[in-house]
Amino acid sequence: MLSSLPPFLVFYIAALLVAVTRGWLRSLILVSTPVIGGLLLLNHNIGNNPVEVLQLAFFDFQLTPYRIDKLSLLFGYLFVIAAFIGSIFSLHLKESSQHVAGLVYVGSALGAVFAGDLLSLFIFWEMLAVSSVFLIWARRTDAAIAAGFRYLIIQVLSGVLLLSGTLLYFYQNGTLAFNHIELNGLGPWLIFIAFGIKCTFPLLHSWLIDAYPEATPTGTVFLSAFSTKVAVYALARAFAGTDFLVEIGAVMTLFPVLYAIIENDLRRVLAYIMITQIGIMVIGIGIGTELAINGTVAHVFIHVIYKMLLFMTMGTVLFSTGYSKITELGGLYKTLPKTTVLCVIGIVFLLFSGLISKALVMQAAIENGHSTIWLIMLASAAAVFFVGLKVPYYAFFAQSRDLQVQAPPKNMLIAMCLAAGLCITLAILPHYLYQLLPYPLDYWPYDLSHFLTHLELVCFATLAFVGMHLLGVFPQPKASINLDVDWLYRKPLKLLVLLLAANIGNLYKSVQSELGAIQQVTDVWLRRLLSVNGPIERMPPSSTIITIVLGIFVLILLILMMP
Amino acid sequence: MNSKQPDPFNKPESIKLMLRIFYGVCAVLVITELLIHGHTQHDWEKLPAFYAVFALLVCGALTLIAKLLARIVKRKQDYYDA
Repeated sequence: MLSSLPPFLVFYIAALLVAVTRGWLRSLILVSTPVIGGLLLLNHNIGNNPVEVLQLAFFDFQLTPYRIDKLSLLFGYLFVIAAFIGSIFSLHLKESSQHVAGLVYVGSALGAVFAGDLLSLFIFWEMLAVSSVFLIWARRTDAAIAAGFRYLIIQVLSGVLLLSGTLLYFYQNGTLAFNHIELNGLGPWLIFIAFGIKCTFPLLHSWLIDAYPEATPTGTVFLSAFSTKVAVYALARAFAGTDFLVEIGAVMTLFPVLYAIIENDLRRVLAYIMITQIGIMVIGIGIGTELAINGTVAHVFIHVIYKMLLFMTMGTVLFSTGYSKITELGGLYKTLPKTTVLCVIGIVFLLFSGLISKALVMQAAIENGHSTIWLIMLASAAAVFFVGLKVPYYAFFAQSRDLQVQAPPKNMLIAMCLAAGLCITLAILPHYLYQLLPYPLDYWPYDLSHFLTHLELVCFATLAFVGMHLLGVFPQPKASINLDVDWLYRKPLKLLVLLLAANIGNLYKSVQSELGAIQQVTDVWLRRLLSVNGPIERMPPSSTIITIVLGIFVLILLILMMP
Repeated sequence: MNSKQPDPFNKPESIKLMLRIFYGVCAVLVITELLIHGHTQHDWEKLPAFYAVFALLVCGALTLIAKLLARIVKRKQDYYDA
């Protein structure tokens, strides 16, 4: 009976407990919750068919809040591991708000991947948005609070689209089951766009770039692991094999590199790199074969671990120095040597992720005749490594600055070591990961020529980085920002709204005075019309009604046309 | 930090040495790739030193485009506050 307990419930209960406890008891709950969640998941022996563990009747709807299959189970494992690392990384925090938000956030992510119907998915989708925004607001700077609101609006919008799409889909198909969805009709398209927003499709991506770097040092670590991966899961579940996803992914995997090259905030550089890797996953979902889906899921797993590691190292830098920008950092290898090594491990692991998981998607691309996409993914592998080098180089080496450095607490180092250890384990023993994939896979990543060519690619990307710095042609870091799509709603849309808001009072006043004048005239006319022996009395009844309706219509037109 | 400790990233000689080792590794990798002809997936892979040239070209081209992009999108830090 314990095994039918949904993992999200464990996290929600833990969130309540954490809110009322302090000290070692709170730490114990924080660390043990992901372990309990993981043990609950280990209880399930899943064959090839999905198991509906929990079903509920909600009015006329049959809901399945807890369904497990191989695809969702792997995401479940990943999320409890990520929650474990993230919890340890944030143990030192005194106030509980971030812990509570983090636990609700993780619970919602688990709820979303184990949701067997679209309505349950929607509920967890919104819970993800609402809980995660507190990880941004907890930074308490003006920028973070504003970015948090923008983030919340976009995330809730995604949820509203999902709900509208779900209801339309139910109306058309009579089912809420969350399985493969054919992309025809408005309902499925709304669901697709809702997923696309959270999946950071091109032009819908700016919420991530805008908000993640504004979150707290520990908050960004949590944020990097869950929201977008839930969206990747949802996309893989519902829209695998939708061929134009391949092109969407191709844009995502290369274009953000341009921004990463000129970006000054290192956590924002990591956010742009994150989109490139989600692009690889989207390509895999678009190809949709068993190999491609295996590659996508493996890449999600590996990406979450090393991206958490990188965000943790930059979180540590932000915690210790108060800075995260290139123009404020440098030479930290002397004061933060362990963090330096861990960050370098995270970047070097990009090479292994290319061999272990990205290679599966690339092979699937070749097998399905996408040779241009294969080249784009190869270009992305070189470019991402090239720009990824910015992170350790500018934070820990480059120009030495006189920075006040506060030593990071032990729990931060332990969490980073855990993530780094997991990275190394995955690099050495990738077949353990392969066993967990949704489809059987017979693959060994370290074929000699494959390894050598990939190493060559990465070394020459490094050479390009070194060469450009020696020649001084790499874009000079400047204390500046770069406009992205969020400019549209942070400048023109904002101006429009402000303009409307400023003028709405005047508009109201002028309408009121005009109305007063009209009223006096109409009063006189109405009296004449309605008087005994007046024109209305003499009209036949049907034309009376038409006249009145026409009169109202003209009146409305007049009001609308007023300046 | 103890100033007596060796600081390899601050001495020009040691940086030079590290760079030389790195260039050596790059050269060895290209030579090995030319000698070992592994299986290929894409026609372009058959070109000599394809991976090396490709990486340099991609990084160079993207940096160039990024510099042009910066002219359009780069703003002062307080751009949104104003």
